[in-house]
Amino acid sequence: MQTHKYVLACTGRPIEMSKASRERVIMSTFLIPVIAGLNFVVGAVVTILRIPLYLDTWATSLGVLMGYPVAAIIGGLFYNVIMGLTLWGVPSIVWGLSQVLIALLTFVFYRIGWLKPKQWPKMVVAGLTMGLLNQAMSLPIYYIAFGGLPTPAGGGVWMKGAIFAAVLAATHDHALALFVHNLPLEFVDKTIALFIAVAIFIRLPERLVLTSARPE
Amino acid sequence: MESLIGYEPKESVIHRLDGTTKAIALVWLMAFIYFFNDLYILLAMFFVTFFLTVLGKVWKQVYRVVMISCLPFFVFFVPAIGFSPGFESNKTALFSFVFLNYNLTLYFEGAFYVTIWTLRIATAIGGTLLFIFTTHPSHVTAILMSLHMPYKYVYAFISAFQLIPILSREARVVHEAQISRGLNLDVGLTERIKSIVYFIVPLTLGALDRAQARSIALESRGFSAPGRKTLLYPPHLKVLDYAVLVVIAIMTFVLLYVIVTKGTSPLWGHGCVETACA
Repeated sequence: MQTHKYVLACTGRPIEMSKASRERVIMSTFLIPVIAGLNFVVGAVVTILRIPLYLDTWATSLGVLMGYPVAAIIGGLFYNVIMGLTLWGVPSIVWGLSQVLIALLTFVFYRIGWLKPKQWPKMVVAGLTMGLLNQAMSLPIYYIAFGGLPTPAGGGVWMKGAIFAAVLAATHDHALALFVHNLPLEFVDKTIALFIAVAIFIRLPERLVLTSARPE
Repeated sequence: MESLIGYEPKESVIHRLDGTTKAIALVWLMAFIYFFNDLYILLAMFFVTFFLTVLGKVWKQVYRVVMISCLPFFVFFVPAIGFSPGFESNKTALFSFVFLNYNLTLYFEGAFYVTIWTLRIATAIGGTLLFIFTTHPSHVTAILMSLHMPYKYVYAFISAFQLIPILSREARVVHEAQISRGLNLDVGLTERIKSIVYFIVPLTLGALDRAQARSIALESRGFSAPGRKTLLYPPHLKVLDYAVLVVIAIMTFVLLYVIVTKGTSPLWGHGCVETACA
């Protein structure tokens, strides 16, 4: 393969790389703001449609499926930094860890061949697993960043509040109430986000996708 | 779907400050609002931030977002924490009433805790938005570059801020276009979830096409070219900036002295709940 001397944008070092590798590096740079932007805009679209979900991880999953996992993680992190700096408050930046988790899980499920529309039950299991693990990871975040307060973000605020208050009153177990209050929403949200990412991915033009094996 | 964030070009004292000074002030504010658990100190910080947004002539834009973010926070947490006997600190009953055969009691500790956190988050959002609304993106680029952040990621971060308003406008256009084609949004939840696809497909394809076009355009202008990148506005501190930095330094010593000698709740000591106070 013919290689040329290029300067890697992130370090400024001259390196040898093929034209295809260079295009990949360049595209990944420009994909980062798109992933952050799409997470933001679809989060806003669900508010307009009065859908009680977050749907702010689907573009991260899409980036992974397109073959740019690092760009997907950074795009997801930037989305959370932007939201933390503007609408959610600075402590919410830690939700960026959730984007990293979703990117890693999408990568794993894609590699083991679970993200194929024809095998939708496996996709459902993958989505539910993502929701469960994400909520488990969120528990220490609630304590460290929000003083043990539940999240008012996303839709279904009253439902989440009711679940939290009911579990807390019934069990007096603060950690259990925190874990349970957002779990139903996480299950639905992560599953639908995954389905959307796969549905968009299989419709993307070839020139935008690096991954060779598309889901059938 | 109007975009809520972005630089507001105006003539004000805050706009004239260098981005580096504003960034230092922001980090300072963030550190101290999370150090203190004192209602009066947090209220003071909230009002100082408000005063600065008035000076910066952006208070309407800033506090519109603060209201959107903090009002649901407060409304959500007061019933969830203040009325819950399960919240371990709740001991002092403020008042009780009967609702649907349930005896509900509002506890002081829970309400206090929620108030502290709401103030904290409102001040954090207000301060950050003041920085964003009054600092030109090229100044933010200069700050990030001076922190030795790779310019690839600096570009990605700054352009994410610029892309969000563009995508928001595009989403509004897609929304109106789909409505004019007969998309009915006054339907059940399942149908509304299905209708997301009608928004996402055109938005995603448009955004990815734009990313590809932008990558070609910027590469043709030498985005990955070797050599040191120069800045449009290199950081340049003026007398006003030095004055602000001196005030910040003095305030840091004063507040650290207060923390060391009187703790993180020096003014509101009585009735302070253990979970909210150090």
